[in-house]
Amino acid sequence: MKKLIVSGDSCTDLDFESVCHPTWDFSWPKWPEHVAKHLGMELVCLGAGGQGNEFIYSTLQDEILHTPHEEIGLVIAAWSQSHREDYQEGWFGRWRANRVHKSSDLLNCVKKSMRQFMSFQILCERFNLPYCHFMMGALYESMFKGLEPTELDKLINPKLTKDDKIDYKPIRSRELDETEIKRQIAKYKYKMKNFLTDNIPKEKLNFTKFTMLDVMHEYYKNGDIDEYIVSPLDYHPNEKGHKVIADNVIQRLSTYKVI
Amino acid sequence: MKKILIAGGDSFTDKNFESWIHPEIDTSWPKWPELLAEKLDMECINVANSGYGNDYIYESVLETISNTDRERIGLVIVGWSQAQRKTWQETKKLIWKNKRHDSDGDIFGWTKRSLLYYLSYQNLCQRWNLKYLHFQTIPLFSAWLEGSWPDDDEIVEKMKLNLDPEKMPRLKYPGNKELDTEFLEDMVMDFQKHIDINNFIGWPAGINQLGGYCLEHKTTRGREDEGRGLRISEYDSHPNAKGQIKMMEFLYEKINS
Repeated sequence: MKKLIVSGDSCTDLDFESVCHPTWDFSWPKWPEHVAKHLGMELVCLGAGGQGNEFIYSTLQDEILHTPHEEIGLVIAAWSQSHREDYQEGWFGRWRANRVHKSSDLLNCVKKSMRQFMSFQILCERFNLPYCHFMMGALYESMFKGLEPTELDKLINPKLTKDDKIDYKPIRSRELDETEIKRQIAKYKYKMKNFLTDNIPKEKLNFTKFTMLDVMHEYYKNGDIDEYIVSPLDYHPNEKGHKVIADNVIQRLSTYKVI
Repeated sequence: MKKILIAGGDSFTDKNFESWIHPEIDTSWPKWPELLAEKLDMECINVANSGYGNDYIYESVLETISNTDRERIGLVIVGWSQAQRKTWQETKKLIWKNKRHDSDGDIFGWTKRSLLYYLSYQNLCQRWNLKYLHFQTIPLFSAWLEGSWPDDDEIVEKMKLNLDPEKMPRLKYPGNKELDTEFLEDMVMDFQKHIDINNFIGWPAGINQLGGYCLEHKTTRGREDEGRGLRISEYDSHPNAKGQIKMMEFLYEKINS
């Protein structure tokens, strides 16, 4: 049986636990498990909550290096927010992350993510491995709009709402910064292959704008958001949400002729 | 039209290198990438920068290769730096900045990150069938375990006070040096099966104890008596004009061997 190797953030974490609901059972199948089952592959899922794109690229690279290439059926990177800062500690290389990069700014975090996307493609193409990637959450928009309190923040202070944001600090002005971020992203548009969410034509060159979480959220527009998320306190996909994401990944694998 | 030589690295490779310790010295002599390109009859694109780490070195070379007509690339050559350095970009002009050591993580994570960059660089060149080489310019992790030297600006301050910078205390490594060295060496050797060692001059990663070497130690710091005269001064160990020629000659010989 070939292997499906996947990495990502909390939305791709098989051991996902909600800080808001520590006693709840989250052992339902996550999207990578649905996709692996559909493809008849053995799943190697490396996703972990809170991590960013350096973690995603590095864990995939590590896993590909240590797996005989003929055993690999498909590699998927479910990219996260650009401004997270990953690092490793200790003999066993435990991964950790800062929610916001401590030194760099948003524009340059985006650029670094673009290079990680490129490096992932190059890695897979070098070894002729079937691959695809997509944005799971927004690359920069959440920080640009002002970072909302985390689930933990809300748990500690229940009075916090979505509006209690950490404001974005512009480099020049919001407008100029966003134009430059989009210009940087657009530079990579034609270098990206098998990017499963890049064909949504609302903003042609910003291929990172639409995400698998947006796809899931499309479902609630005609219904109740609570059907697809963990709870009003925790917006991670619930069991139904994961199924919706998996169905979309499976459909797009075919549309993009990935395998 | 001439082929292009793309070079990446730190201060030993930086064509605009300036000595912090001796700002009065004109350091505009040709650096090894420019000398090597001339010897190979190539055009040089040198993206190296002083003080920058392996993250910058990989990313700058990736960007350059991505934006260059790959048919024209004759050789890519990279001199890696210390694992503990951290580089990032800031502001709209995408200016790179650096820290002498990363405030997050530890030497194990930094070394692993560097090794993954080495592999990313190898993949990048192999993916596009580019002729490439890489080497460790200065030690990957041993300087950190030995205890870091003071910053260049601290050395300058001491020199102003007529104090001997060589006698300045090093930052003490908080772990078990012997045990951690062994662990890090094992980590490097674990990567050996993935590295094309024919293209890595001085593998394993410049580590003496494992039979590797850094370019610095083979050229400008080879033996104390030989190294003198190839470096800027006893306090600034960067190669001078003669040292840069020596580095180029060493690499030229490796390319032709």
